[in-house]
Amino acid sequence: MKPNTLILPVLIALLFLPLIPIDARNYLLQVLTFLFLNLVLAQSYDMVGGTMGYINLGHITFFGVGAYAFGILLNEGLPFVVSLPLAVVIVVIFAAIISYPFFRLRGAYFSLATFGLVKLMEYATINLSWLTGGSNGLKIEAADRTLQIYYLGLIVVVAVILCSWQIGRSRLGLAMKAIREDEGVARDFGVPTFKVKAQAIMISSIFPGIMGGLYTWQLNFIIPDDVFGLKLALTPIAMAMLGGSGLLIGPIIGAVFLYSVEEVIWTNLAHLQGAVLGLVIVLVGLFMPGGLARLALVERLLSRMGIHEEDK
Amino acid sequence: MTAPLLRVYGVTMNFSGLRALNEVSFDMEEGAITGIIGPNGAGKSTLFNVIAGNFTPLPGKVIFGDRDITGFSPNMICRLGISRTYQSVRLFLGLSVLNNVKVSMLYGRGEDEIPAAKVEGEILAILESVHLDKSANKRAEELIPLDRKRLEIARALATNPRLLLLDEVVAGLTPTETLAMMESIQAINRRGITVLLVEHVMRAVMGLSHRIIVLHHGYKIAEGDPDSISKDQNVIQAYLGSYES
Repeated sequence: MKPNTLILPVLIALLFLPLIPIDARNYLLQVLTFLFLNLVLAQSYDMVGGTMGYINLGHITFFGVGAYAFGILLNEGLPFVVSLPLAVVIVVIFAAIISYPFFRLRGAYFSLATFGLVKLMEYATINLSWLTGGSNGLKIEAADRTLQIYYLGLIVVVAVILCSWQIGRSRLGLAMKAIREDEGVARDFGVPTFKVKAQAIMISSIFPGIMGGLYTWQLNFIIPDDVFGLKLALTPIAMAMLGGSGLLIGPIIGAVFLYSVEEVIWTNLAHLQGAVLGLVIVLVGLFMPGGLARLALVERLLSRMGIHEEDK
Repeated sequence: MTAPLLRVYGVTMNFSGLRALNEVSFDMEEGAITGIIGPNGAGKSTLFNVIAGNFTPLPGKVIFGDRDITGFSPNMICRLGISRTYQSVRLFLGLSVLNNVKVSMLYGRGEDEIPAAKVEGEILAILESVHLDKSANKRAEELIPLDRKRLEIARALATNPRLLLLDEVVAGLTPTETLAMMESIQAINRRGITVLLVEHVMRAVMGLSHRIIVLHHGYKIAEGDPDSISKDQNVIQAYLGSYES
């Protein structure tokens, strides 16, 4: 197999990003930070959604659980460097627990159930008000941490891309792809399907877990409707699908493209934002199931940049 | 005489009232080619799925070597040394030919796991033995039907099986292709792999098998070498019907 040449240019591009904030305006910093959030969510979603073929509509619950776990731990007086890893551990345990019932389901049933999980978590957070502050939200000590968040976010972006890349080359990744192609056959040929699926979703939950914590740290204040929100749940999925699910470059292209479009719409036609997202999902599903990265034109463009990637 | 490699003992399989298998028992010697024949709906594929662990018989036992594997999951059974192909070819269509084999090589072997450095070479050797080495980097969906069947066999061989289950592996092939496939199966058998085949094409099954088991409506109605089976009155009746009925 040819070595994946993708990783280099992506890393180089990312290395340049730290130079920007030094004298950039705050707006650009905010935009890039949210782009990082979307990138991480889309890329980590695609580990399960693209590589393994299980459309996890509840990926955002890992973000939400991470956000709340971090906030609660921080309010308990734990320092940042303890709260964040601990919150991620909680998220991974949460992923392990839900993997047990949810991975008994396949296809559309799995997706529907995970979608229900988003709402379930939202209402659970509202009702457990002694722990989460309920619908009043959760406050942490306020401060401006924009710059720290920017750099930490950048590190997580690099980490999630490296992790996806590593999965793509690993034995585990091969089993995940086999499950996507035909789970029954994978099982017949020795793949412990349940274990592989649980491992995959646990790995994919780490990154939204971290981003959840960073989100709380940045905004100082979160409400259930926000971190378990429908828009945040669907955006990364739309990005991965638009860019090209199953390819490492796919979610990256999708996130950058859709987020740019969103920013333009947000500033000009705010009321159309939700509609655009739904439209993208429907249109990609109907006319471009392979996503942007698999279009002949884009493929040619990418290979000219030295990026050649196949999902097989 | 050595102990049989596979013992199927009193296997019964019900599907919500429909009895697909009725107390089927037989032994398989190590190193032999055994054929299972029978009219459509006789329970051949069900029997296959019982041995491969996809169905759990009730009652009944499947003993492989000296181990009772009844109720084991398919991935366990595969790692113990039973590997299979499917009646309607089931490949990882979106994956490369190489990766199709790699999955079963990396996951389907028991204790005899191979070092990472050797994987690629071993895969290519297996692909070469089924004449697929030139297609290693193609997607499985790009293969023609004959090659798809070959890939299924390559994938099954990659687990280093002691017992290979072949489900209608020559169905749909041209006469020339059938002959080539029969030769490949004999070559596999000569390497010491025990083969159990389900087959509709009489020429293939009669030519290959050392021993034949005949199923009809879920019952075993005959067992013996190909010559005696072709003269067996019960078998002739099951296939052609009788004057009395």
